[in-house]
Amino acid sequence: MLSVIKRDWMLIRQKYLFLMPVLSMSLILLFPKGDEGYFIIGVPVVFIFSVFIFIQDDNSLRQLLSMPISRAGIARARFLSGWVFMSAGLVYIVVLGFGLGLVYPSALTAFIRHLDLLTLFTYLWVLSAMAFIAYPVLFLFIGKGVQALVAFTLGMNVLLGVYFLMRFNAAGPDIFEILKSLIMSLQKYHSSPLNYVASALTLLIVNSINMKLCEWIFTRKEF
Amino acid sequence: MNALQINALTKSFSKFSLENINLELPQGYIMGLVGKNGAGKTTLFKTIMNHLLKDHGDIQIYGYDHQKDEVQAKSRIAYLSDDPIGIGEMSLKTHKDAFAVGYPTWDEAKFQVLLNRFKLNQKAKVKTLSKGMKVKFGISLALSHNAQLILLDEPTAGLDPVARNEVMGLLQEELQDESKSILFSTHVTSDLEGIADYLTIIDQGHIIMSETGETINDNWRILKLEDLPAGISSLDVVKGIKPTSFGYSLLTSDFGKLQERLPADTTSETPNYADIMIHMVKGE
Repeated sequence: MLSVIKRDWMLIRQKYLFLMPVLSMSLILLFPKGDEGYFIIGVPVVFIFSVFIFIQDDNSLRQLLSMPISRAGIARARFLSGWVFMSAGLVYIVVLGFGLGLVYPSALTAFIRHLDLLTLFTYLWVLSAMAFIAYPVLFLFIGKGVQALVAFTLGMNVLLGVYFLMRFNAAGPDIFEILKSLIMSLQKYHSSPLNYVASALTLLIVNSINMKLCEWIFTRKEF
Repeated sequence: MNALQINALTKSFSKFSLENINLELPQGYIMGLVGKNGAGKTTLFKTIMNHLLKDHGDIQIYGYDHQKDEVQAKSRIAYLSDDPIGIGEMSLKTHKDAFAVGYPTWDEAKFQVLLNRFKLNQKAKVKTLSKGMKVKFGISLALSHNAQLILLDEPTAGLDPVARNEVMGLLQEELQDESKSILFSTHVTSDLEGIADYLTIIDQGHIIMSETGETINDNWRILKLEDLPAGISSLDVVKGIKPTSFGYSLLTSDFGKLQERLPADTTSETPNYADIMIHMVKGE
């Protein structure tokens, strides 16, 4: 499994680790008055965008399938590799953002300054939700056409762009307010270390289920 | 022990299927798999590699089931697909590094020897390679992890005669190691003359013959006949009949059995692989 993860990084992911910050920075620079919404929504979308680019390479997948690695092993390794990729991207963007002196959204600043566990869990939940949607969709689409993936990815990014435009023209719904409400309610809920542990365990279970789902789909795919 | 054993394999698509494929490739031998484009060669390779999932049947690599013991089976295989190299932006070195990671038996010294022999520059990007160079690079990768079973799906397709000669020469050298076995598909039968121990023909998803070169040399004959003796075309040993300008050309798998039914002045010759394919494979 480690060899698959290493191969993932050598072939593709290390390249997109440079693309991600560029896209994220572009979002922030385009909308300098933004708040935590940029981070909560924008960054995962950019991550997923990069994951999509990776998944489109069917030839690389066929080569992986020719190597002495089980199909289930490949699915697990790629899922874990995706998580490592997203986490590494997160840290990278934070470091780069501060290094460039960009004003970061309040949620991120709070997280950095206070190591706010609630914010961390919120990000992890958002990433988990994205992974939960993205990976099975990606595995289902493998071999059925790059165009579908490209269309999906572009659609996601167009929606994001439209949303931001509406938001800053004060015409659109304020999803950020909804997210803030969610965070506030989580704040009430997360009142004890026990709740954090419970949240961490739930995250683990959700992602384990997601990984199993990916395995199940991937072992039934044809290339 | 058989390097590859396939029993009653079926794989169906909406417009094509592999039907009841049975094959045995003993260790240390090379088998040529020939057939027209679309006959099922690539489908068979992909099914052996578990890229396509079989419907029924059994595939074993050195005794390991290709699905249940996937890791053990694939660790013994080197597979060169019909589209060997994918990511064009990548350098050969990056490609090699990513490939070698998966094989504990990777032999870097051998890989470097092959690169030098084929005059391939490691810093070059895959997209700058010609078709022939891509095949040479693919073969260099495939042969550098000391696999016991080498699966080559049309490695010489689209190569010029010089490149083809280089590739075939390398394969012949590889066969000096008698522990290795090769399954080699092509629709150019001349590639196989002199190197294949077995000739297997696939047509419309069916294996229509699989024989040793020795059996073909000893028993198979092409006969030139002015007229067809009555009832001869329905005999099992008659594998194909083609009309010609002088009458008929008949392919038989057992000249001895057929001899007494033929005129005394019938001329016969040992068929080459192209003759066999032309007589046995159905036209469009």
